[in-house]
Amino acid sequence: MGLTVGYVVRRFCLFALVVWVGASLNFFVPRLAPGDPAAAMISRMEAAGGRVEDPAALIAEYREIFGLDEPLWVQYAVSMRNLFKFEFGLSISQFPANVRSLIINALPWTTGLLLTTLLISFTIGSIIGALMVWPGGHNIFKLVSPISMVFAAIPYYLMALLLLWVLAFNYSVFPSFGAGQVGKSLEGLDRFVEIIYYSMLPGLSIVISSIGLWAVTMRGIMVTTLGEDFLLLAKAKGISASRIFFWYGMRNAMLPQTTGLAIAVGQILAGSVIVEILFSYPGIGHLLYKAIGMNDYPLIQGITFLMILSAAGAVLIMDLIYPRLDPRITYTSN
Amino acid sequence: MKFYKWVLVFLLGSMFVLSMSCSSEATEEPKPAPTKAAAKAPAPEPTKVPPTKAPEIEEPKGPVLGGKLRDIPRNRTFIMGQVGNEFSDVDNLNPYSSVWMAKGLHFLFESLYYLNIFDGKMTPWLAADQPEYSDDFTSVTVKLRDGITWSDGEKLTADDVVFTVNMIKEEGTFLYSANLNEWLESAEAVDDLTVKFNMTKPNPRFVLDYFGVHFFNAIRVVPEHIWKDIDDKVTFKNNDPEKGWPVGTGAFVPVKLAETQGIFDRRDSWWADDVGFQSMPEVERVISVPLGPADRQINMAVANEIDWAETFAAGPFLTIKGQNDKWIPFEKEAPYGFVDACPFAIHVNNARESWKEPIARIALNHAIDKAKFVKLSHEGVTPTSGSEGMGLEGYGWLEPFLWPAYGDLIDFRDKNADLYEKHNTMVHDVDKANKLLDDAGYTKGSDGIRVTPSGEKMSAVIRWIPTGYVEFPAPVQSLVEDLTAIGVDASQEQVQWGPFGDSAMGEFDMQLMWVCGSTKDVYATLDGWHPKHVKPVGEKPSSYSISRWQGPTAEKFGEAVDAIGLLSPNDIAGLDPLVREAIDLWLSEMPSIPLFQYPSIRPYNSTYWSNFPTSDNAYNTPFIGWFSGNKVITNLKAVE
Repeated sequence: MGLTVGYVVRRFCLFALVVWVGASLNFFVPRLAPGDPAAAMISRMEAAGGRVEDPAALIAEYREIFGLDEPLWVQYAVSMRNLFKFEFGLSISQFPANVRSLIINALPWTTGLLLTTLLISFTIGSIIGALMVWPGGHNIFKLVSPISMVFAAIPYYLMALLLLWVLAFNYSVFPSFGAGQVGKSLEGLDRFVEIIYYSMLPGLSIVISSIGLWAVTMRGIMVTTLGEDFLLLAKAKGISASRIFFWYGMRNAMLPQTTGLAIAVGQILAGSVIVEILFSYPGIGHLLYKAIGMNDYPLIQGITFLMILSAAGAVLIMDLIYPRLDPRITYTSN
Repeated sequence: MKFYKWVLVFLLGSMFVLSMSCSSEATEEPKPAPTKAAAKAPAPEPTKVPPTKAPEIEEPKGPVLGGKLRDIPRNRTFIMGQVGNEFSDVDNLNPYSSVWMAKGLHFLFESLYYLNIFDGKMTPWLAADQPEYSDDFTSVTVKLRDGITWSDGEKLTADDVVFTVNMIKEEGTFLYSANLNEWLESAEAVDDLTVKFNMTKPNPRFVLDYFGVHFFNAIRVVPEHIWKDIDDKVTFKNNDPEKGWPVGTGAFVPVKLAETQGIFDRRDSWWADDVGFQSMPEVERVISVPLGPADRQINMAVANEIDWAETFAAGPFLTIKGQNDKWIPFEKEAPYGFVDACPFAIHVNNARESWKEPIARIALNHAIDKAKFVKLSHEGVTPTSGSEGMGLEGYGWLEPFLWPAYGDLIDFRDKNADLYEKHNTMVHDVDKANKLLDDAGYTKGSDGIRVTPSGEKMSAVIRWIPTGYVEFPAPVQSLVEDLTAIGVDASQEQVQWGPFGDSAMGEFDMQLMWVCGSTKDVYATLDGWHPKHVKPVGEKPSSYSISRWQGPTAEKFGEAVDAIGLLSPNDIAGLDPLVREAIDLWLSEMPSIPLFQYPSIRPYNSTYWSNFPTSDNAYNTPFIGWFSGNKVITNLKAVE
């Protein structure tokens, strides 16, 4: 393996630094936005229950509960300590819900949807992209090239609106909203199938708009790989075309593509905010959107901390396993 | 070369087969009728959808949270459509923090009294009679009905009520904590069925305000035998099926709770039926579902997937009515809705230089075309003329003052109609507005923007928050144009709750907001402007004293309001002169600008259920999400 102890240690230190800087920014930036979350809570209370006597005292009470009455540096220190213990505290906007519980409830929806769509679009896009320039590829894949570029340019949320219009409003093929049927309480396989059914539209919008991007990047990498001598040698040795395509061509071209996949996996927790809002899909992106609107610092911090962790972690893992994927790579101390 | 082809065929075929099998699997049950986009004119033929057959399951012994669901047909199920896209923190059943309160859990936690906002009468529910106040209003005695039991079989007694109020006072962060610490000295259980509340100062409306559901909710009595052992009552989830929690007195208990729906089943027995106070509800199951975006709301309503909607804007409601004539609004004619408890107003920050002088606010009132605002915000369905039977003749939906048109409140408004004329409250006159400002020294600069006598440019950013009830963008823009016409540098700003709440700290010019206070008694709304509630900029005052109205007139107003606060809401003769004085003082300085009564369209679907509150049968607010919705759910009649 091409890793050295020194490299691994440096890499972990860099990971820790990135996470700490990200978490620090995550702490300060929400606090720069206008709006006092405790005052917002009281305003919502008043909207529901009429006048609240002495709201200033109640605001002070809530600020104490959430530690907002402490000096900023104390809040920062406590926040950092709790973050690294994965204790995110209570939500302000959904008080007294535990932030960790809210995230855990929302997480499966996002990871399920996005992981699946990512793997599907990556697989299909990579294969199509490679076939676009493969000498033995069918002519139809050459036609796919401009189509892929068009899809790559369409933002996924525009694709979502288009699919909603066609497949939900006009032809009622799929539901337009939510994650389950009204009044039904399915379980087991029925519930699994229902989840798949309700995730088809958000999933399709992401897959269709993502396939093009993977295909285009794979195409570019494959063009470079085609010029390599080992492919010519493999052909000269009489190895079958399909084996050359998959085990010689794609395998080498996939290396940079895999790096992109790792980064994309790490960004899954960022969710597809707009898609989740459009389809009212109860995932992390939707939760973050609501939290920002309510100045819910603990919930914002909890979600974005996990995003930072997953993105940085994915890159770290990629760096560590890359020599295994490509034996030519060796990390040295200098 | 054929290998990659098979790979592709396999992948694409799998996706196709999966999607088709998903579609067919999930549509074994009747599908909603396909619809075109909501904006298009619908076909008028109503659809008749047969009751949905519920899945076959084993009959349970009683409704249990998390247990197997009972087989209850559609025509014994009442489905409530709630504003929002999904529910959160769904396993929290603490009546003081649960999202399910107003979505079904409030049917379990019953109130001592339920006020009917339309006639001002308070129905004793857990209480046996009307409250008895001492002559000086420093104490009030409430007798409980005999025979009330909690869902675990224990008796509800005065000790539970005393425990509850003491708990709220001690915790400090419950909705009524500050209020009870302000007003309640102590509570004592005189006997098992009698509670005596001792106030810190005279309060003739203590029971109305905190136990009468005079506005949306009230104090929820909790069982002392359970809650006394809970250390942290604020974060207590009150959710333990093995122990039978949550425990309440109502007829419905939660059985299945998720982000996409909440199911509450009727218990096998209910104290009110046992003692002959009420009959067992005909509704056997209540389901709350999120309504989601407008197109989904319409789809669900047309297909009879819901029986009540928390709200519809006028446009979607007309679309639904055109396709399904089973939908019944409170009022048969436009604007269809009932008068909401919270009229809308523009709260003007009296602390801002541009608006601190009364003359500027009075000019503002004259500059605003309220009829146009109402027409734009209600998509043309709201008449500017009066709605018969609603007590709004001559005013339409433009209430010259800020309390809703209910019962005694209508009388107080009508008795003082001459004051509205005296202060030209309803006059839209841009020329008059300009003249008032010119005469007061608010001169126009070369850029057309007026400057205050102290030299500051007159400006206003009108803040508003999307409510989902009223379409605001266009009407708010008309407000901007109205202000521009009198030389104010005006703009609008849509905000979320965070900055909206921040406004209350004093960093705003104008805020478009509802005025929630009085529903029976004038005091609540008037007290909102009492100068004693005003706080310095940077601190939050209570509700609409965000206007920060101060000065000699405001002080006199406060004195009148204090005197009103010492009189019973039923002492009309005593209240009359004080209310008149307060209105006169308020209108003379216009700390806020009344805009309109909000016609709240919260309609019912009569396919499966009848006996809803309507203008012909106004026994309760149609807003079943209010805690008094318990009166409605227990009185609905099945159609078949």
